[in-house]
Amino acid sequence: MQLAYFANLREITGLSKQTWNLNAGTIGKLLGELCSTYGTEFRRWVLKDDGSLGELCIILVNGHDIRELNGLATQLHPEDEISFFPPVAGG
Amino acid sequence: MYGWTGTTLRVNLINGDISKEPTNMENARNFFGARGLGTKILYDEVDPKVDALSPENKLIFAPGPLTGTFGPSVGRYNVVTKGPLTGAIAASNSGGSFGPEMKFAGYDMLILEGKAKKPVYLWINDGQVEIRDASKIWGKEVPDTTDLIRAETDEGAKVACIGPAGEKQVLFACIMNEMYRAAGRSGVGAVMGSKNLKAVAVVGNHPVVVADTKAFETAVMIARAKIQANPVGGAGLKAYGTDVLVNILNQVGSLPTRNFHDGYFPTADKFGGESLSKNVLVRPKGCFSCIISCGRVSKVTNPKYAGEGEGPEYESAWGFGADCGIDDLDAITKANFICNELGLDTITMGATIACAMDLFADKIITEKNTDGVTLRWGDAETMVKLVGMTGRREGFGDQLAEGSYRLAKKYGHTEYSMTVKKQEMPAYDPRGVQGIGLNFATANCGAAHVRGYTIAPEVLGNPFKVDQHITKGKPALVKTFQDLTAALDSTGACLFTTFGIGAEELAAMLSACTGIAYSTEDFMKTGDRIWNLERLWNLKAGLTKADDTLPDRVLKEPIQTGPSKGDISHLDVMMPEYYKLRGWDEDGVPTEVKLRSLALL
Repeated sequence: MQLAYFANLREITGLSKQTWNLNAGTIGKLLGELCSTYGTEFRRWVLKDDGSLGELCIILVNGHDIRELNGLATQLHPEDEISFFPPVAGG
Repeated sequence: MYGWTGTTLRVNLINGDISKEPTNMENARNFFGARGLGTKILYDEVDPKVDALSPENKLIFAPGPLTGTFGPSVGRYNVVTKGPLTGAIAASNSGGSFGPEMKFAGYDMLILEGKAKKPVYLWINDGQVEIRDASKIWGKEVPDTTDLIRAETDEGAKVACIGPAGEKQVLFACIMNEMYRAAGRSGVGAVMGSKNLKAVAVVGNHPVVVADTKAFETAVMIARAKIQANPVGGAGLKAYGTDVLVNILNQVGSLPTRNFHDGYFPTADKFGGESLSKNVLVRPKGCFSCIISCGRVSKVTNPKYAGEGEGPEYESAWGFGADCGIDDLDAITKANFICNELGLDTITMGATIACAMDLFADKIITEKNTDGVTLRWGDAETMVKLVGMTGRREGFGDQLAEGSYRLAKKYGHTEYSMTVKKQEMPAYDPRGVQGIGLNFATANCGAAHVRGYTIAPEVLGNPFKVDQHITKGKPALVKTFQDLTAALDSTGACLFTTFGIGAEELAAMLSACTGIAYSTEDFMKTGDRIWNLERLWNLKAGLTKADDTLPDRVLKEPIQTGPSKGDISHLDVMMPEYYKLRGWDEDGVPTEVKLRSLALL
């Protein structure tokens, strides 16, 4: 699956996008793997201390916000595109 | 007097009369200041049917009671007038330091009447006010104007001025202060130009006094802590600026592309906030008392588009970028610089060029109509050239200077103009985000995102997440955001404080500042009152429910690609409920019961 990072998550991962192999899993499982790879600085933007979804963090699966899907339990498929945004705003 | 100064300055440009009158404190109590108080003056003193560019229109500069205090991000002021682009009420909001300086000089409002016989500028030196000759400055761009006026008055003067665009009454000319901050929309700069007024320069020496210093300090500390604790207000905006929105809106498939033909632009990342930070950003910048610093000081070194200045903001980057099919950040930034120098609204400018590109692509206009200019989607060089031509009304720029609605109408195809009430929609596709579409359709100043920024909950999830694709609950959401914003705009606080605080904290600061106890309900009711007064003025100006709509393209043509593919706006589902929640009849007219409840009758 394709992962895309935005704003300061690019600086933390050193990447704007990457291909990731996740054989049948969920957003929660993916985040676990990404946090293991990119460490606490990545984790603090995407997960709270209790392991729930980070406040104001935006994660999209094929352009749809996981808060409108199944949250961290959202199922993923190999062809999915997942976008990660830390809290952002503008106007 | 607390919060307010108690004095309104009135200047008659016809006979040169300058008078200081007591601010009507009943009005101040009921409408706060800035947008609200300016609207009340416009309602009481200006016939809504006047020609916006005639001497009968008035131009009102108004900070709010919080402006200039030590609150967080409270440096705003409004320019209120009849908008020449729209024929509706215009209340354009700007930051920087001009608003606070007006308060320091002792004024709640500056009301400009009539038209000077020749170009002039106003010099407000604390208690002394003069009308001065501006014939040597007329024709100068914004930076030179600012420097020349400071040299003639005071090096520390805060200057609000027009560039050549305002002088030539480009219908979307803006008023610039501190060179890079804009009272941007609806053509308030053209009104200033129509009065032969080049600038207002102000210096003041009196701090704003608050009623209860201790209570105000407490309210400010609470507000400040909440704003800074919020990851967006606390750090996100400073790091990437508003342009960070390019990628998020694109990724959810709601970045209007090529004049709203689509909602997804594959190369958008090239001009998003991440690219801006890497390629053109010099440093962040904030306004008076700002703790957020969303502003961008920027520089383009590419010799083709070299320049320095501030911006671009998200809307500006979108207008010259995706809306025109362009992904060249240097060109986009240069176009933004030129708009600042000439005094042009970036949103209308970009969207009008996009409209022209669209008309050209469909062969409705050709080089015969464009003074030989070939228009193509994605042509950055021509886009930049057209901005300069528009600001000076040169060649085809003279047609663009009328805005996209009048341009499209001239060639018999208004359906190519992506406007509401003749004002161009900003950078959010109403097909993919239902609530913002309702806001665009009902905003009293014409299409404007800042009137009720439901993008915050619908896309960003701030302060809570609602599904952008559904209509359920959106009328109430839009009304709440519109009322909150109307009240907030009228205090002098920045809209971005709401990424952290809400009505409760704003009411607390306002109460401690003014000495008048406003509850959260009072605060929101005042916003509702301001909204309805604007509506009444517009109805008298001749606008009707027929103007509360969106372009056919977003009502009927689905987004073609991306995550919101297939979506259209369901405005028809939301509007009846919105009118009902507003307390209006089926024609969108406020009922007597509603008006009495707001003490407007």
